[in-house]
Amino acid sequence: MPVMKVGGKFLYFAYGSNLLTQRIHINNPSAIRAGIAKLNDYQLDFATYSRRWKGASATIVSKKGSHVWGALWEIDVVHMESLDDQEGVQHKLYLPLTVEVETPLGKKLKCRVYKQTAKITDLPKIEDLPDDRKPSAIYLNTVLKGAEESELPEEYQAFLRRIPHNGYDGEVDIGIDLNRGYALTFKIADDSSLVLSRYGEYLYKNLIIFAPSVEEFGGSLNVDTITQFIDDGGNVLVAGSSVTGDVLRELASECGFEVDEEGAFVIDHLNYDITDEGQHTKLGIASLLYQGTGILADPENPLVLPLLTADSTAYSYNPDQPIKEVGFRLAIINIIQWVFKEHGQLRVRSVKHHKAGEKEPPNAYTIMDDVVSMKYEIYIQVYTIEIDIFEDGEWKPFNANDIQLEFVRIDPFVRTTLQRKPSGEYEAKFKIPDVYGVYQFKVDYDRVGYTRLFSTTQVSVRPLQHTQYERFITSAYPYYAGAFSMMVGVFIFSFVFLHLKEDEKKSKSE
Amino acid sequence: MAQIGTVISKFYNEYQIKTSKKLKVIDAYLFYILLTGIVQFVYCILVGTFPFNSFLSGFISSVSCFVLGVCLRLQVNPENKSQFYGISPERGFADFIFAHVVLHLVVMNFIG
Repeated sequence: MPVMKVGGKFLYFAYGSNLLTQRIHINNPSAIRAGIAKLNDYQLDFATYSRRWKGASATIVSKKGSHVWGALWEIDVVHMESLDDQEGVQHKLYLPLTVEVETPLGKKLKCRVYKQTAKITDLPKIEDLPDDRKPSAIYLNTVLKGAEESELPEEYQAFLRRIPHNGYDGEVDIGIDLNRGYALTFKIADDSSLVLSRYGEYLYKNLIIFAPSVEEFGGSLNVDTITQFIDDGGNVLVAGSSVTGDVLRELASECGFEVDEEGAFVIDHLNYDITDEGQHTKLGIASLLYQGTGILADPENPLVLPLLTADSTAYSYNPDQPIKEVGFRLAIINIIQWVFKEHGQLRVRSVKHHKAGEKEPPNAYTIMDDVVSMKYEIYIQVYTIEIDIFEDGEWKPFNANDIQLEFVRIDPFVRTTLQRKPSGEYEAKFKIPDVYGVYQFKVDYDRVGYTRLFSTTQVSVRPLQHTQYERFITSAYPYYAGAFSMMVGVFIFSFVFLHLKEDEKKSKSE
Repeated sequence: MAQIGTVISKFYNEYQIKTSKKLKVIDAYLFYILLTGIVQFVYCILVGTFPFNSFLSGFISSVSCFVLGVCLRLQVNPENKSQFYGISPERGFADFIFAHVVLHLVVMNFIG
């Protein structure tokens, strides 16, 4: 084999979407970065339409004096087949070649590279690609991100950015969502241009601060603006360490907990890990190894939810140790999903309420209305995660049996548990109380691990209309009789009274 | 006890002699109304207030008839002539009938 082998591994020169670690790891999880290299006498081009990417995909075309930059990957030989599969070698889409590339230090290396099999007759300037040879926006984006990640030379990245795309930026069938659907902007913590909002609109939805030791943020970013951002619905993920800076301590105390003193570690002399070096700071907590600072959370504060707590034998003190980071990807991914509301987010899709036996909600309910059924469709956004492959998230019906409905007029008059129907709706049936006024159907579902679900629907409850009262009630007959006897009485009385008068007149005249 | 007996018998005798026949008719009418009202009230205490609007209209009908009857009696009584100067007994009776028409319309509306 002419390809350079390093202990059962081979080098692969990637110049397209495989520049991006995330992309190549889908099919080739064993790929390890081995720097960048330049392929001389070739030029980057886009030719064959790729159904996977909904646009033309990249290839290389021989051209004297030109060059292509790319990333070098070290891949196990056993995985060569899967790489061939991905490149569509058996479908004669790409052809594997062995070429010699040059590293920035001038070292020559033999590499495997893939070239499209389609004959390319004309080689237009990259800016003038015909429409049917333009890559999709998502593909180009992947290449650009990969180039950035691989740290290809800046002028080559500028060249890549000049490539026109066909505008397609939707779903692609490669099994991943690049950056989990987020557009990431990286800034240094003391960058003087840091700004969260402009003209009252937030520029970002989520904020990640992985700068534990920062003492002061640059630009307009400070504790006040971050707190305001949180209050306005933004999500913030902050990493701390045993040298957490003042500004993050202040932010932590704004959010209801305190970061321990500088240099302090969580120490547990009873539950330390066997690889610990004598300071008893490397702890096994809930199947994770933890080494780092402690956080003091007020147990009275219901809004603080500690995920990882040490045993009661642990304490926090400064053991005078250099910091080591122990991270676990799965846990981190779960926390990130959760912080960015990818997971555990609840929403109410629809609210229906109507009288029993009817379909449409009335303008107003009448007191004592027999039964009112209230239907809620509560949906939860579900994400499944399997280490490296994550499926697209979608809203799925939420399943719980402890959601309560209240019928509230200042105080709740009715509180009942919603029953889940097989169709996924939640339903409650109850009788309207015998008190009229303006009521709200209210669902307030607040559980650990889920976003708060709060839904109110206002309805008015009116008293019976004049004609709606019951009539001819048997037990009211004496009253009817009384009222009618009064009428008859006045009639007879008038008769007698008038006659009597005549009699008297007669007697007077007599 | 004997004194109360003499008071009552004296009152009865005086009533028999001095009160005109017309006023006696009114009194009999008032007594009838009083009985009707009491019967309804006792019934309500026994059975409960359930059709409360019916009870109210029935009972209030009796009370109002009683009040109207008393008013008629005051206006018709010759002894009160100085107080109702210019209002003839015929006019008083017409008012009485008019008030009754209004009263019974309201009662029927409310009785359910």
